[in-house]
Amino acid sequence: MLQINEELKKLVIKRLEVMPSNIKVSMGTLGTFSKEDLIKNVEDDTNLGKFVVKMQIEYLKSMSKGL
Amino acid sequence: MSKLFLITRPHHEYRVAYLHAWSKEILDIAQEKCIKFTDFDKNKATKERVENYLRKMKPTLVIFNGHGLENATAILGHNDEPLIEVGKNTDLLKGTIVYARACYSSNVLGKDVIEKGGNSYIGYNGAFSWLHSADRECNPAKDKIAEPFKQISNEIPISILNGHTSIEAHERAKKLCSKLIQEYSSSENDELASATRFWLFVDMNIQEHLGNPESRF
Repeated sequence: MLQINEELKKLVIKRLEVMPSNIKVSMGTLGTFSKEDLIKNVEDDTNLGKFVVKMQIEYLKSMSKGL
Repeated sequence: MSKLFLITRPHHEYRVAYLHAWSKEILDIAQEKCIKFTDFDKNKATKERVENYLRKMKPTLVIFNGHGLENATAILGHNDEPLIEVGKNTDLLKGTIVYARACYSSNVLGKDVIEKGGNSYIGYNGAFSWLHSADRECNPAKDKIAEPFKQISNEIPISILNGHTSIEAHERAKKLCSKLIQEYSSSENDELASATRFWLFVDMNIQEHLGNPESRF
């Protein structure tokens, strides 16, 4: 189980902050989210926020290995 | 078994309207290849129609578009009516290749379909996600921001219709996703490209194949 500490959350929020404001993410049944919605979910440790953090970490690991 | 497929594509709200619009490409290819299909479009995507069709026609391939329940037990149709549900009617997909462009379904429903004799099942074990323009929700077909997500998900049924096995279709979609991630790495629009790469990565990681890898349409 991934331990989500404050530093990790800050890193993910920094990455989410660069998402353009004129786009949204649709996540099917979960709904549609703006950049601000995603950041709020990460800050509040919701299941969605935890999912985004987990995937960001996986993504960064994969990028460092050259995908 | 006849070479025939069923597609469901509800249209009752804008998120499923994206999947509805994206499916046109699949249907165009089927028409070009003279492949027979039945399209349960918009309000035709009901449980009654799907069940009757599966019982009577026994299609080789079923493509579901729609929401999936977060507990992964059902794929939904028009007005979010459950079309296929764990423990209720998954046996109707016996001998069938299933592609479910729906959230979560492979976790529980996909496994149940395979246990009940389904040939293979390609779906997602998380929320299938896509980026879209905030002002294109009324016209998904023209939303260029969503285009790569259309490509990676359409690649699965199109590969199957082109004669690839289900595992090849699954792998081709992942490979395309990886290729697009690389292409977006050299995009001039850094902020959009960065977000696109990440959400493509999410979809690539939650896409799952279950059942017979050699199943073929």
